[in-house]
Amino acid sequence: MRQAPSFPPALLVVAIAVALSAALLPATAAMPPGEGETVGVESVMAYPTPAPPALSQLPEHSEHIANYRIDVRLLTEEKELVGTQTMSWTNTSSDQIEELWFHLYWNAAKNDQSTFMKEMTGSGGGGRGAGIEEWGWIDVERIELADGTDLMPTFEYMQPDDDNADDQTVFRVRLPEPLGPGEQAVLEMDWTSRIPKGFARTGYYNDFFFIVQWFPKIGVYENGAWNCHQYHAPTEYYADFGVYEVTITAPQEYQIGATGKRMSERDNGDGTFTVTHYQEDVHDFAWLADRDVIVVEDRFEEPGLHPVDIKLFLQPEHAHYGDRYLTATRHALHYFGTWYGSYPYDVLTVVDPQPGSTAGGMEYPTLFTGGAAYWNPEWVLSPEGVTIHEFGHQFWYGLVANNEFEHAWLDEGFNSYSETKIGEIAYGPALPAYQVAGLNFQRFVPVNLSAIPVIPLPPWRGRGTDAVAFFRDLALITFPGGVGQGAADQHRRGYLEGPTADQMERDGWDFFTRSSYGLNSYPRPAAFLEMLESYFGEELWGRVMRTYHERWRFRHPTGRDFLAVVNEVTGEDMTELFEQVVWGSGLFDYGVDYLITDTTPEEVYVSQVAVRRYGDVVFPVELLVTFEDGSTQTEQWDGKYRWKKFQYERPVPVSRAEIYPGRPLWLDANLTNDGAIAEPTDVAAKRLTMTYLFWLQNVLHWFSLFA
Amino acid sequence: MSVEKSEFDDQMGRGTSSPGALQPSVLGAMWWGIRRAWQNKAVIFWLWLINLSVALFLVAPLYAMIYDHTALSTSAEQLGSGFTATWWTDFSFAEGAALAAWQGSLWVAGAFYLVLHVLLAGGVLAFLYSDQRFPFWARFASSCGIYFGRFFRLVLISLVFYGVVFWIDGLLFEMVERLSDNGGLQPQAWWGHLIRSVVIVALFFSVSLLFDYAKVRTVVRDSRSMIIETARTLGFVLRNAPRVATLYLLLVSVGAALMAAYWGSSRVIEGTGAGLLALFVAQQTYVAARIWLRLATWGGAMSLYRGLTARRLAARQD
Repeated sequence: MRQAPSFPPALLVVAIAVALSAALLPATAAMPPGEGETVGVESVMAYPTPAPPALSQLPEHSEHIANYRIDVRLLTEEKELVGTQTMSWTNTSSDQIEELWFHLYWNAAKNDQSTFMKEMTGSGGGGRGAGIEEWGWIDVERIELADGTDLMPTFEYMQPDDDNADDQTVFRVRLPEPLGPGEQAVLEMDWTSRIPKGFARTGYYNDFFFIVQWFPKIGVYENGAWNCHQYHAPTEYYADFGVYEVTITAPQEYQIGATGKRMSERDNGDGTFTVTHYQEDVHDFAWLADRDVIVVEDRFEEPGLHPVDIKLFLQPEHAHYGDRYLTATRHALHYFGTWYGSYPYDVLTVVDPQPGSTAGGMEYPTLFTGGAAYWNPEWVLSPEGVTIHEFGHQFWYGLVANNEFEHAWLDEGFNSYSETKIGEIAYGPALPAYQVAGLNFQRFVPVNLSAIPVIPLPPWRGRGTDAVAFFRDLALITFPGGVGQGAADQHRRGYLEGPTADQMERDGWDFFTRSSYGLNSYPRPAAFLEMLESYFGEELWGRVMRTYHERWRFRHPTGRDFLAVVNEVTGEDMTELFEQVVWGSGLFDYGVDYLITDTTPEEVYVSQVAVRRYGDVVFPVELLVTFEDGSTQTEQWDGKYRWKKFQYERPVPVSRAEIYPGRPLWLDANLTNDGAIAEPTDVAAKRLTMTYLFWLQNVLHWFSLFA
Repeated sequence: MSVEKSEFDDQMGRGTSSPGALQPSVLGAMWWGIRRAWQNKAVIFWLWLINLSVALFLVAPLYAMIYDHTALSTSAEQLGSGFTATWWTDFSFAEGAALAAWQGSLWVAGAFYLVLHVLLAGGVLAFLYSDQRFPFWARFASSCGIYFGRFFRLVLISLVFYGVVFWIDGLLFEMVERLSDNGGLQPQAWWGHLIRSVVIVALFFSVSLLFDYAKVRTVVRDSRSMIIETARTLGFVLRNAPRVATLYLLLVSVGAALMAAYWGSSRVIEGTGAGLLALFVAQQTYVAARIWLRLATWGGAMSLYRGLTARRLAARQD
């Protein structure tokens, strides 16, 4: 992903930037080998605890429903792919199947009338197709059954989602005879593709070809129908597991990286070479061809976890990121493996995409892309953050393969939850980044200034106000020590940007806005999982997550499947909560409304605590009441009516009352009122106001410099 | 001879003739400026008090908001000794509208403060130029009045210059983007934008510096036409660019040292309980030091301008 260069000038800051860059760049930019070379690196990393054994037997293989053997030639000058594929598909349902449905994702880039492109101009804009520079498409030229029956006469574009007749991202063919349960159809296809430029994290950029969603790909037959959605701007993908054997021919000066294990490589003697990759138990296949790239090889080995050969494709100008990519990948392999179950494949390909391409930050089976600005010091966790996130999708999408069109929260939300946890453990709490002249200054700003109220500044020619923001906020360096945002805080803040616009689980293209889709797919479910962890405790929640992963590895779960695991492992019925949060859009907000104490003539204190449900979501409330002598009493409330009052007559008054103390319900829209004290204090107001006062004095002084 | 004397007076004005007031050397001018500002702490005190008063006025509603939000909450205990992102999230969402209104008021306050300092700048520069020390309220007040209109016009002219700087920034931005294939060539983009930033910052500093000298000249020469004064100041600054820039950068480095000193002390002082008072004292000392440095910058500029001009006139007489 390209990092925006951004910003207007920032006076002193840039002087600091120059000094820093001079001081730090040489130290971090030690170039490994020359371009195009392949090197091996040592992998040494110790973790405090080894991976625990699985709670149950992990499935070793998926069903092999959709299997592909593809032979493709990359024409770099023409920007074309010429492919032949043999695909077998097994009917695992009990139905008689009369037609087969396929995705042709690249046809979304065929013109501006595709559903994808129309959605691009709708609410939200941006997204994966932003900035397309050249159209792309895929033409299917031949479809035959293995016995030679031509299916092209039955070829028909379908628009199951919106009846947009101009959309050609889905087609179907009719079978001459219905396919019975357990029977297999084998199809031969020829197709030609035009490779798009700057589209949906695929296509080409200069001599970098990133080829994903590139072949006619069969949909998923489930619940008596084909689940084969058109390509939509915000959504991702869904496919059955199978076996992929892909043979790629490309000009010799290119390096090829791809899903799966390399089985063979040969020089064709005509300036091209051919490689074959093979992988079982995956539901997609991605590959890249790049001319100027460094390939670094590493091996992950750890007791209790499956060994993995890692191959990193690194842009020459990012050579200094090699160790950082690999370290982050190893952290991810360790923690995901330890928490949920070992990464089962022998190989993993990490791609640092060419800057300027649209390929950054995306996941495919056994392959994912990262991306970073030219130079980030180590305290700026880029490329680490994106590396851990995209690796995480090997688990939440790759192995536990939910339908990303319909249940995006199950992969993005789960992955955000997991990723930030790993980031926090491995690298510490997240701190906001301030980019000035391509440099990040986050460690210099010890509080989350991106959220502190500041003078609102209009965007500077649409490039943001980061440098101005930094300069402006410099004055706020007052809190001793740094305060970062914990994982749960990050998610909660994101979710509260629009907590009631949509429900969490919904067709990805049918959210109120694009940002609502994002909010309900990433931070809201992540905050929900944090809340459940907080509620059940780390140990029990860890078992829930592990059980869910183990049970649904190599399968297609839905939100209800996850709920069933939660209920089973915890022994509590959480259905009502899920109905309100996952399939509802109510606000979650409980709080202690007041805590008052009176004295009677008999010197007995009468204390009253009122708890209220300010939001819509109903959830049982546990209240810890503490008395002045340190004694406590725990109260339970079903949370159903709007309020509940508790009264105590004791020789000592109530000093504080807290809802789930130490176990914040992270979906709660206001956690500050979840704990009340009897005696008002101005300590926080004084301390924080003093900080603001100092900041204001500095801001005013800057104004005076123009006088 | 009388003509030469008149020209000298015209160029040098009738300001302080204290030792060192006319310094053609950079270090001498800086030292004079620093001392001159330090000699009259009353000016610094009053400017600091104005700064604190305006800031207190602005921050009062924020105190009320934070108090209402935390006074009866257990989160006050955490906030009394640290900071929690959780609280901040709650506060910013709960008080979003009020905070937005408060932020908007800062622009108004900033504009007011700027105009106020345009007014005060006349008095301050007149004081730096004079032999007098505080109290000299009558002269201070009359100088504020005398120069307010001229300095305000200088601010308006300076806005044109700052506008040109931002326009150049836009041009350079587009150039770097073009040369770096819209950022696709990352090293080129990174270095290009870094160089662009350095250029723009240098220009920004230059404008600020230029108008500092324009104000100095206006007071020294009692000039009336600010456009002509700006043009002549530009000539002066260009002729003496190395000295002028060195003086400016030296004073900027003093400012950086002050900032580092404050930053270091804020790391050491525990910002809770009694430490809160210590932190407050450190903060106010830092603000006062910045005001002192501002005065020292003007004083240094005045000394250097007068010293260089005197030397030039003397050379012409010879």
